[in-house]
Amino acid sequence: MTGIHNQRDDERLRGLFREAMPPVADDGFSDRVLRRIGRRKRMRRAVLYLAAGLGLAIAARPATELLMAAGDWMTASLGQSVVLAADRFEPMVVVVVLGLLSPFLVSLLED
Amino acid sequence: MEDPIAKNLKLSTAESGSDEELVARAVSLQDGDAFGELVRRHQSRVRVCLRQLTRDFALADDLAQETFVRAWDKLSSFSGQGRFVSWLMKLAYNEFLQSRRKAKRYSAAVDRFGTEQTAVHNQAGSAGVAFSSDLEVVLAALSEEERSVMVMSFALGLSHAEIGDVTGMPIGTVKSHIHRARQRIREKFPEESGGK
Repeated sequence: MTGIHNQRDDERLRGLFREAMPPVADDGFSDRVLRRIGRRKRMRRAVLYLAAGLGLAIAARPATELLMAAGDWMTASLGQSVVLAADRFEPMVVVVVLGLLSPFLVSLLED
Repeated sequence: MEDPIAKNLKLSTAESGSDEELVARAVSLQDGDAFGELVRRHQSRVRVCLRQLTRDFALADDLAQETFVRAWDKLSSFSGQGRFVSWLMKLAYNEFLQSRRKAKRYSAAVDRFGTEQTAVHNQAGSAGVAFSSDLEVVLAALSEEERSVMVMSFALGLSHAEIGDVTGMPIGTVKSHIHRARQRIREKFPEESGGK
């Protein structure tokens, strides 16, 4: 008996809720959400590029020194000048090489 | 520029899929159109629920936007167990709880600086409240938990188990909230539930 009463109550309540809370029209809401998501994606990418650029700038000098040391070691062990000769490596070259690699690094970070 | 035929085809496939298919497409292909369709499908439910919980339309819409942005960020964590709408409502409910905590912290801070500012804040806070029916007035008189479960059950059609999952309440508590809310509706408005 109570079950039937509750069922009737439920149906009545559902009807009242439907009446009192009709569906809300979109009115550009979805577009605003998608635009906001797009902005966040662009912002995230920009931050990643900035962080990668900063990292590369910081890494440029140690990386150059490492390459110079490697060039010196190879020159000493092979007894002749190799492609990695110290004077051929300028920090700018390293920055450019790492800069070219940065989109790949950023895409890895994004994944 | 995207080929208009390809764009139309992409949109029509996005519109036809189930929620789970759209989620899979949005996650695996980072398909914005698929997610857009999910937003269009569920925006009304999320906004209705948040409007009833916050009783402030502007705040509810802000929270709804936040819910969908968070849903996009966390979409890969949707396991496919249970309905997508239930997962989404859980995010919306958490957004609501978070905003309420912030509001409490804010009013506590304002209280320390005097009651004058509190009065101004309360005036501004009530500006968005607009109840169009007796039912909404009755709901406003219920406790927050009772209102939440009633809206989720009767307006959104969530099952007791889903409501338990969304709110973190045991099913028994959900049922007792619904039972108490029904009784309070009967007490306050006998004609509302007395079976005219």
